[in-house]
Amino acid sequence: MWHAADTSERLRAAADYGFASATSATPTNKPTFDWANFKLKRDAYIKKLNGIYDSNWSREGIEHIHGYARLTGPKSVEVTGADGSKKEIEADQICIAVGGYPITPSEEKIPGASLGITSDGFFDLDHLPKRVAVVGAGYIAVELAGILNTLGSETHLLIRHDKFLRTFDPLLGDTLADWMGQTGLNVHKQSHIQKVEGKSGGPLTLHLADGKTLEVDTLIWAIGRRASTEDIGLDKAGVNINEKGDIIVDEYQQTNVPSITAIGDVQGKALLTPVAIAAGRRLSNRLFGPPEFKHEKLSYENIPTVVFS
Amino acid sequence: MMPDGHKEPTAYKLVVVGPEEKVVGIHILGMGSDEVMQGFGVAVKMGGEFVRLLVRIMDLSCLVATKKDLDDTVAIHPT
Repeated sequence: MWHAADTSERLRAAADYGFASATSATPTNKPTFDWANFKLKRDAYIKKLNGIYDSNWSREGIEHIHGYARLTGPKSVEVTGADGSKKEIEADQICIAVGGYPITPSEEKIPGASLGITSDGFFDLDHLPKRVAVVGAGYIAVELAGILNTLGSETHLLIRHDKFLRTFDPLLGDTLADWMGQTGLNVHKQSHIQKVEGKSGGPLTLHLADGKTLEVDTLIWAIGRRASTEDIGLDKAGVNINEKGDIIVDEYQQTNVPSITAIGDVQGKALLTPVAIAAGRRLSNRLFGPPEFKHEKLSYENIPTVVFS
Repeated sequence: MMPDGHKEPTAYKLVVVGPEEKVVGIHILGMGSDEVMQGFGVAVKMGGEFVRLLVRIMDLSCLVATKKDLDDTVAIHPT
């Protein structure tokens, strides 16, 4: 998605470089973009990648069992298939890598909150929303708002305080805020949604705490993520979690249960795909590799990260 | 080529400590930052001593929070 937005920006710059057919080169003027067709191609590409993983697994002799898994003990898992069938699996080593999910406000806290979608729903959108509100100040909110704005949505970024990307160096957020203003992205500071009215798929009215209202077609919550540690049987196996719900692991990805390890977002540290992959490779080396790998672990110090704004 | 209002900003900041100005952090913004950061990431991981070998200045208009090593490194720029 980011590459699509980036391409749009390059097209916009083209007129400044003398490409006559690109006539409207201002930061607020966007080339037309066939979202629906692009989505089909993107989904097909992801499906192809899934297929490559599948065939790699079968080539390595790895059995892939599709279903909902719950721990039933330190060395056992019960998997419920889509048809409701149950299968019990025993293993000397179990690695939990179930990830996390985007959180949304409850209906009690913000009536109508469930009319909004999350980053998952963003990838399901089959058309570019005409008007969209993205709620949140973290990198996911900034990335989604940037992409939607660049591709042509009237985009509103609603943040609770005065600045976004507050966990990054102020240089980044401040410089980006100045630029985003020029690109037509509307940033609403000190903004608190109290109520959402409308119906799913239709126009939504956001009622803000300062009494103002905002009319949009799509509302996206990007207010944080939580580890998917509910209802996976952690209590049955005796795996400890912290107050945020993340599985507690040591520097070797080891939980308090000797036969159970955890990698990725579910252990709450450095929530990035390449980190999970790197940690997983080292973990498998340590557990199943030759003796020289028996102390292998991923260093979580100084991990570089990029916001694709 | 582009009017100022059309140019995406670029900003670079080095976080340094001690009289030797060892680089302990790098924050960058602008086109190509993802690729630049991959190289800088190695440098910071190595303790910052290596950073001067990897400095690439993308655009003469970028704001650089300078350090002697960075100044002494000849910029890479297309002619």
